[in-house]
Amino acid sequence: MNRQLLKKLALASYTNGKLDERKVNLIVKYLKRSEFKYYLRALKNLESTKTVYIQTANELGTEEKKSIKSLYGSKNLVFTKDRSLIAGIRIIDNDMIYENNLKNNLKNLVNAINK
Amino acid sequence: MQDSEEIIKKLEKKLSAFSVGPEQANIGVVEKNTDGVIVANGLSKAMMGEQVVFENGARGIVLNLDEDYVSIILLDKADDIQAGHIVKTTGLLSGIKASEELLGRVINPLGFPLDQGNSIKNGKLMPLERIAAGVVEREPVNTPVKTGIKAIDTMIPIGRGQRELIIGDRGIGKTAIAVDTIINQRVENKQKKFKPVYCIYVAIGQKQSTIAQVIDKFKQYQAMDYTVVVSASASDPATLLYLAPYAGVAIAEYFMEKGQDVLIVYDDLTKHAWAYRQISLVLRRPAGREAYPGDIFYLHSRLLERAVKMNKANGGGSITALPIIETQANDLSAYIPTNLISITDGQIFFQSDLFNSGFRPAIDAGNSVSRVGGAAQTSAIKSVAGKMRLELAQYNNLAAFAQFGSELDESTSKQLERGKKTVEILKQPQYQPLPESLEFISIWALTNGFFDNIELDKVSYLEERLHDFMKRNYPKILDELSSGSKPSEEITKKIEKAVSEFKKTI
Repeated sequence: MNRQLLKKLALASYTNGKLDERKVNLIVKYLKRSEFKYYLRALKNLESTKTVYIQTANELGTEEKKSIKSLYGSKNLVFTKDRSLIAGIRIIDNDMIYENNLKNNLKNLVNAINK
Repeated sequence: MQDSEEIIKKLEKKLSAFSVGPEQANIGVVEKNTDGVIVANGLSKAMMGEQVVFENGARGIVLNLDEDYVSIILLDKADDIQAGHIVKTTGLLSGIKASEELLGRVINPLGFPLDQGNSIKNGKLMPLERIAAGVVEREPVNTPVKTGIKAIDTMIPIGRGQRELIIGDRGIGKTAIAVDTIINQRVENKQKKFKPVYCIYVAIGQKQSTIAQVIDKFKQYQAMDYTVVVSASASDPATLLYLAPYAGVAIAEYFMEKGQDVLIVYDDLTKHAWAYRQISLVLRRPAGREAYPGDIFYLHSRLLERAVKMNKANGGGSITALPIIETQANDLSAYIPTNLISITDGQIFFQSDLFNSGFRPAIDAGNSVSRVGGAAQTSAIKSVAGKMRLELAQYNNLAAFAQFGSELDESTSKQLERGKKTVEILKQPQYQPLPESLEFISIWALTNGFFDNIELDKVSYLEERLHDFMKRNYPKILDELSSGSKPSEEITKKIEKAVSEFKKTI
């Protein structure tokens, strides 16, 4: 099976935007080992495009979470607390990373002085 | 000691340029690390040739963009990069900081000093990869680069903005020619007849000891004042070897843009091709002839196309390139040599047979050409060189016949004799480049039969004494000759008188 087809299969494993366990089990049965590996990678890639990780120094309130959710529409949001950011937020959306936190600013400050 | 106020001022200055705010970056995850090539997932916004940074601080350059992943070659030695590490784009294409500060320095292709001097912080960022100047901005080659080597200045003249290939087997004086040319620029720059020439010596894949020797010679002959050495030695990663000539030409372009003349030596491009072959093979690009990748021609043509003579409207600067290529057993028809011969504006071919028979520099006049340099030759040298070249060619033809030992008529044996003397005069020791006026005197004396009645083994000794004699007794003639214009009849008569006077002293 070629890669294009495996990618299509990965896309077809979703029902209403959610990964369907029944479909995946059915597909996996018929795949060879190498095909399975590629299928898994394609699924992983798809998952990462559908999930956004939001790290904050402090727990967010429901209002704030709502306003962030409205930005990302249908994507799954994962909120985590990361005290090491000191203050502010970091958003990881697939392979883009948005930083607006004190930790990153301090790091940039150190770089600017060392230059 | 700096006082505290000064330190605070410096800090304030640095901080004034710093702004705090949200930041975005494109990231990827390392999947595998094989042979210095990193394959990373993500990095969907990476550009070809963009610099990326790994989480341990190591840097790399994106060299392949595939559907799901990108291939990155490492600029630093970093064996500790593992699967799962994060890699970030920087938005920067590779470049090097160039300024006058670089003169006299030895740096690596990334701009780090290798000579224990201060780090290079200031300067204009010059891109390593750039499209060469177009047709409209250029003008024909019209000014000579004096090598100070009689055989080259007379028969294979090099002009500013030319690309002249130096080609031959290993260890027969290719680097020596390039080093002599750089050393000779000190004298030429002092004369102020033309604009000064800045020199850049790019060492690619050489032994560190060899590079150290060359730098030592530059220092000994005070050539470092106007020279930059870019070094990527045999122990550096192939990536640095690949980037070295581009770093060299980027620095050259900095000076050229200011209207200066630059001479750049790539020593040597064979090893550059090897480094690029290695990179291409580990990147799994399809291999072609001799396992070189398909774009090996473009690799060198885009580099040498950046040698240029700009017209006055565009500053009038120039970059003269002297690429060096090493052949195996005098084979000019191998892949890389033929590529380079077709790219350059001529070649200086070194023969190991000539070298072994004591003819040094071992330049094979028959196989060497300069396609544009003739226009740059000064009329003084031109007036004597044509005759000499013809005589040498006739001699080479006759010498083959004369080997059979048959009896020769008078004119033929005269020609043979003159030819032998010509060969003898063209010999020149290393690190002794000659000014144009003395080159002229030597060739003039030869073509006018001054050396005809002199034994062969005394020729070079007498030539040296003639130079001393002229310098001591007739400095005015030498001054007039170094102006470069064709000597008038009056001066020719003066030279004739001087030389015959010298002849009496023998």
